[in-house]
Amino acid sequence: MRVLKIILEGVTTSFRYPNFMLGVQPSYEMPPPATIYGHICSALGEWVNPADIQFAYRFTFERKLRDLEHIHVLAPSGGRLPGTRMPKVLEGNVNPFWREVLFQPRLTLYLNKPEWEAAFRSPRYPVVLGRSQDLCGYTDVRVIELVERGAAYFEHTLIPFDHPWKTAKGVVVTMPRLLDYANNRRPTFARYIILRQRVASDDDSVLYFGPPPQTYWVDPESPESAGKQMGLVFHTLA
Amino acid sequence: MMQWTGDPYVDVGLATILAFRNKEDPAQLTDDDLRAMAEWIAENYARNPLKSFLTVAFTSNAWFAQPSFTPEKREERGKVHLFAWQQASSGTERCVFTGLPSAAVPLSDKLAPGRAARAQIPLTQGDEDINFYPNGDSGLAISGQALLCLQAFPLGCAKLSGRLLAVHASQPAVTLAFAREFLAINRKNIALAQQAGETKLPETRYGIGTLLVDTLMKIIAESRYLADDSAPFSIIAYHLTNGQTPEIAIYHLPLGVTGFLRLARTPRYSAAWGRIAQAALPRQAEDDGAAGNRKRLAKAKGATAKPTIQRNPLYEDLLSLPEEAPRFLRRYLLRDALHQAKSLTATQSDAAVPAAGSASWDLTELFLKEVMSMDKTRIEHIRALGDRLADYVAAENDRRFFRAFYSEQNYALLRNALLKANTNAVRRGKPPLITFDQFIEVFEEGEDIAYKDWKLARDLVLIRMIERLAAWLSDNADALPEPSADGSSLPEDEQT
Repeated sequence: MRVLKIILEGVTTSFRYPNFMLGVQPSYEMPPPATIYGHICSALGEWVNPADIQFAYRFTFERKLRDLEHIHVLAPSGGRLPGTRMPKVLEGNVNPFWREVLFQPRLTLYLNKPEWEAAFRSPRYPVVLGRSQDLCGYTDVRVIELVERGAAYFEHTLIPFDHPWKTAKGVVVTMPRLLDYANNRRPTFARYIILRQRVASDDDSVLYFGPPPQTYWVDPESPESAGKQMGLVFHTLA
Repeated sequence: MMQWTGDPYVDVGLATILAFRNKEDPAQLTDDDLRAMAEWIAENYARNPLKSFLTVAFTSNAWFAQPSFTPEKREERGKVHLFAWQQASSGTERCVFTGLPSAAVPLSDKLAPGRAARAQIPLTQGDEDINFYPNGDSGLAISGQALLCLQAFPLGCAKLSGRLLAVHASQPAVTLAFAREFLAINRKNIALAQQAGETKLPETRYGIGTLLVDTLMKIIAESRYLADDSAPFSIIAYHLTNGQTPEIAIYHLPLGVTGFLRLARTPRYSAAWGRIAQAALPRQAEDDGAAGNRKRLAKAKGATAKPTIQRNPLYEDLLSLPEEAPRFLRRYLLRDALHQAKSLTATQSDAAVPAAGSASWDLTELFLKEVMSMDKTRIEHIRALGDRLADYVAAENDRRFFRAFYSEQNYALLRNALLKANTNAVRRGKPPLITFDQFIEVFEEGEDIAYKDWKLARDLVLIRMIERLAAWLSDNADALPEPSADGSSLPEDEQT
């Protein structure tokens, strides 16, 4: 399987829980699929059909911390700006709040679109992940050939909750799967397992609902551990 | 039909309604059930103690708390919030939580019909604020069903440190079990406060981890989740306030940790787990003593002492797993092995010693497997090394090696001690204690920097050694440092 492998690194990032807006904005510990989709579209410079995309990733960060930010909380207003005849449409106050920030993020993204290599080598918009101020950079962009192996390990990744195999490690979270930009960014949510620890396909903690797969897609460039390399779980967006 | 959504607010609210009607499955809920919940809320939210307390969930702009509302307006807004599910919706939007059509009713004078904001959904923006909403359209679309769940949500939470603690699990039955526990406590406290004319709802005096794990262990003990083959679950706890200073903290009990806790109660591990849980309690007693002193001091000064929050350190530390697993292991499992060895050497004869200390390693092995995902082969190598080193220490009476292995803080010196012992064994015509491959397997992590977790490996080998050396230690009690409740007997850099 030929895939586009992209390595992104930055100083900070944050993936806000969508409905916690005030006082504290905690961060997911992995980028939600909706964020990955937005990132891809940012690199390409257009809204691409999410139904065509399959992606897998490995995401790590050094540590989690809290940063004090200020938000200009805005509300509609009327009248005119002081001393002018310009209409006033918004007004607001500065509110301090805490944001959870992931320090030194590193994303290895695998896309089923090797033809997008040129776009990621010359992205259309500034490379960010999470917030617009979290500038990042691609340290490697190239096409590789994944290989099929009878066993693999998995770590620092996201697994769909309804995946045919499950691991008894990690935390189950509900994340934004996709925002419908044609419909006022209406969100759809899905459940995923955030898996940071390493588990192998033959571990006791991996549960199979049905016969285990014969093979797993593996990154041949990944480090080897106990004779296995890193497996990839691909996600769809639609 | 109501169903689980994956959202903590709505799911905990739904679980609360189920618990209120003593039902298990959202599909069993009838209109009568929803009406009963809505009527109870209508009767109780607008009076104390809930009227004052629930501003922590919905702000003072909530329908039952807004001071400028006339009784008629309060009643009208209450009906809108609690009975919107009865109306066929003509809303054009879809609820962000349930996907159902949004309620076609206005929830405030400033929001578009069917949209909710901070007075209905904790920690969202105010009615007119545009930040974080698509295209600056204030509020989130919400259905009548989700609205009722949100109204019920705080009843299924614990009141802790002036905030709500909501527990949401990947298995709905566990979410329901927590909501059932908390609802029962809340209803009892509400009734007592109303009878006594109190304006405040009493709150739980436990630390977050203590309350969370204590309740979970109770749930595990009383339910089918104790069975080995039941579905694994993870838990996320949200400790939040939507009051004047909004705040939220999120805590995780991952799948591996809940799996460990479930198995720790089973017969094979329960003795060792019980000892560890018991050993964590003396600190509690110390806290109580300190609290007693503060109370007496405050009484002498004519003041009211601030109530003490009770924390079980073991349960609080479970919230730091798996990231802090090496520290946890050192603080509780290694300490337990030490306590066991020390108490056995003090009280038992040689003949009785060997079997008595068993199960420490079993529990350690369970911890390595469930919480740390350690490879089975590595666990086996660690256990085997512990056995060989214990046999060597006992056979050669090598106290110096035991103490060096126990307390050495420098990796190179520890390795030297191991090499010397190895050479010593071979010189006496015995097989080597450890081969190169075994050494790599036990003390190296693999792809990462070599020897990164050598102290963890040393601690694990020690747990096994101490367990196996019970007989030898009964004759060499002074080889062990004094175990203490705070872990001060552990090697210097491994306290805390």
